[in-house]
Amino acid sequence: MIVNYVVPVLSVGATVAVARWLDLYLQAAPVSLFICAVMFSAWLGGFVPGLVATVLSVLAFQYYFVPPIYSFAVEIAEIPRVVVFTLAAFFVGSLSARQRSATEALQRANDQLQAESTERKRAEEDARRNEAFLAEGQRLSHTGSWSWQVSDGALLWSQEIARITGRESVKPSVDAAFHLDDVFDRVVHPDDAQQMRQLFHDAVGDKVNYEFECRIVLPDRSIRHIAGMGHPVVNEARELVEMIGTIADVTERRAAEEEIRKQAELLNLAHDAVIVRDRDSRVTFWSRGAEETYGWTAVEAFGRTTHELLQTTFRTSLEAVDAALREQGEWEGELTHITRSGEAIVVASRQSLQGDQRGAPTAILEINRDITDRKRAEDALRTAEAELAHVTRVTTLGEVTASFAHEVNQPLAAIVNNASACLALLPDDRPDLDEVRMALADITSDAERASAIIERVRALAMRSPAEKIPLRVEDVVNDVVALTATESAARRMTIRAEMAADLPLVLGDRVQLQQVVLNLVVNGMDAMTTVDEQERRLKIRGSRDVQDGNFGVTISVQDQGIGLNGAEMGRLFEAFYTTKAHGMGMGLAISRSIIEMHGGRLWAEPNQGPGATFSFSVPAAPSTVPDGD
Amino acid sequence: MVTETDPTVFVVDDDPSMRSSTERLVRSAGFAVKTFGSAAEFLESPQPEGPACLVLDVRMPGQSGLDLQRDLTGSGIQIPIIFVTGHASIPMTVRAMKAGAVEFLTKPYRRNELLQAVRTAIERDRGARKERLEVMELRQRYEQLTPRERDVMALVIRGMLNKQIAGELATAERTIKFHRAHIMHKMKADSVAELVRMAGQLGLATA
Repeated sequence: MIVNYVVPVLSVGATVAVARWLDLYLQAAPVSLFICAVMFSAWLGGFVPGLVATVLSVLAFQYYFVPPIYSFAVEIAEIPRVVVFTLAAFFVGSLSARQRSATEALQRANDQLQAESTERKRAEEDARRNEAFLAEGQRLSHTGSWSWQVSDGALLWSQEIARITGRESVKPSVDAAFHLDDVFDRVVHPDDAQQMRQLFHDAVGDKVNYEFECRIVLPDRSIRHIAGMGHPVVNEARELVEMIGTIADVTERRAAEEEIRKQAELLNLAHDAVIVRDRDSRVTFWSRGAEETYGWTAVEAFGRTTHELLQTTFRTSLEAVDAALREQGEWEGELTHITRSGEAIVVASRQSLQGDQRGAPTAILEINRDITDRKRAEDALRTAEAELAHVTRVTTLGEVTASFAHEVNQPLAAIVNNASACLALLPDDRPDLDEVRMALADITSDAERASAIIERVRALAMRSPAEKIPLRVEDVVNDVVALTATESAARRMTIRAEMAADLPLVLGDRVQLQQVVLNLVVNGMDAMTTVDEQERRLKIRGSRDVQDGNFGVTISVQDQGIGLNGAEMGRLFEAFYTTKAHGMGMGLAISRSIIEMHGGRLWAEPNQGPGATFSFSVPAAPSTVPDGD
Repeated sequence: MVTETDPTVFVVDDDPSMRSSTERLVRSAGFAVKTFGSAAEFLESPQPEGPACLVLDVRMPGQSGLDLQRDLTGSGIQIPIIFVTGHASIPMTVRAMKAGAVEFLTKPYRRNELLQAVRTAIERDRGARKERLEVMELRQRYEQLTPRERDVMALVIRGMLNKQIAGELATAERTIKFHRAHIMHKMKADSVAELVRMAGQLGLATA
């Protein structure tokens, strides 16, 4: 800055020197030189240095060149010259200074312009690059973007949308002539247009994000599926400025999904559970068979992890299954799953790895067949068959017995009738016919006896109320021992009966009690089939007992057989429960009902050593029972 | 007096030996016996003149004894029935007895059991026949009454006095007295009590 003031001093000084020298030798004062000094100072330094040069020039001019010379005093006559000189110098100085500042401003403006130009060029390059990136991205993702301006209703869209919609020739982004209605009327499929229009207007009205999916019609009349979304842009006043969004061509995806759906429909026909799960084991497809098998609906299953949802129990391990899928691409085996209702089911599972075109694993197809039902059905069938066989045998036994009783009773009754008629017809006064009379009486009595036996057998089969008479239990036991003598000998078994001498009479049905003892003896023999011959001993004990102050008889049948386990103990007396390969499981159930009908009880207990003991106790007959006549 | 025809015992049983032996047994007690092999055979036979009973087997091919009992009741044929069967279930017995069976015997039965039942049944049928005859005769007498006399009788059997009846029928007490005499004469009733009994047999309301 100081230079700006040094310049006027030096230039005016130099001018004085030059003008003095010229004045001396040329006798002329070149006043214009001072003008030059002022002009130079003003141009170089600006207005203020120009003013300084002007003042210095005026002073120097007056001092050196205006008479009186070497004085600042001014003659009257010289005043105009000084004034003119001053004005001229000032004018020239101002002019020069303005010229100078104008030049500077111009220079600055020029510099600025150049800088801006550079900046813009860079921005333009960035923009071009971004646009290129975007376009490339959109092209690769088949996703285009669009914007709808509220102000003028103009619809702008990216090149990718133009490509998707087959309207590359139209340049809506340039002339903004493509109106929204044109899109709904001419681009969107007529069947979808109404809905799309509604969706758009709702989103605009509510200023909310929205998603849509529709078909569009290309100029060549082909149809494509698009999926898109819109996002409202609002200003500070919450007014909608524009709607921006994207559109993606999902035609291929839709076609693929449609294909899968068609396949799924076929899969839905299968009763097997067909499940597709992604790499994270999350369900992406859940067939109707799966719904039926597991109780979970497709909606509920989607996105869930199969192993968690079904609480899978692996025969080996999840890792082993995964490894097999990874290495062989498939796995087959049994799994246990828990259904929605908490039921455990066993499934035969076949799983295979599904890959994309490059073979990268994308999903696992799992086909599970519920074999629990099959197994259960088989079991149920077997059980049903067995039960049926049992019931049939028992029913048949009952029916056969009843029918047999009836059939046999017919001739027996006829015999009794005839014998009775003969007796009635025989004249009373013929002692020679007494023998005939006695024979006829015997015929009647025997026929009645036979009929009574049949009736008891029938009663047993029909479980009719028993005919109770006072009897000796030891007789019952001895009958059974005699009855089974052949059988026990054949099986190389010994049966020993130990009856106490003081057993009271019991009130009971002999046949029924025989049935019970026989059943216990046969059970005991069956239990000893597999033990050593020396150990095959069956002991029947009879003893008097007292229960609640009343006498009774206890009969125990002790074997040395295979014995009983806890579970068997609990079910022993259930009908049709048997531990024997060919047993009907009725024996003990019937025996117990018989004993209970006699007011007693039947029980089983394991022995201290091998085998088990079955016992029953029946009350003694009341002591007031009249003696039989 | 009507001379009574001898009682007849009908035997229906599908088993021939049972049929013949029963016939023999019943005949030995002095009854006339007619046997039939099936319910249908029995239904085709003419109805007995005198007192009768039916010894009926329960279990027969085709129509069972219980079915026959139901059909007889349904067609108004009143004959006492003695059921015999090879084996009897309680429900079967109950059903038969409820339907009016005299006895339910299980084969083989004692001679006396059957004969006692037969006698009871015949007695019952005799009584029933007598009753039926009586009712038939009473009905004939009742039909001789004039409509007015029937009206008066209806009130008499309800225990009303002549005066009350006259009031009820809006007529003179003397007229009622006259009607009453006619009624007693036509119905052959000696007393009001007997008239009430007759009304009961005829099924007239006496309450």
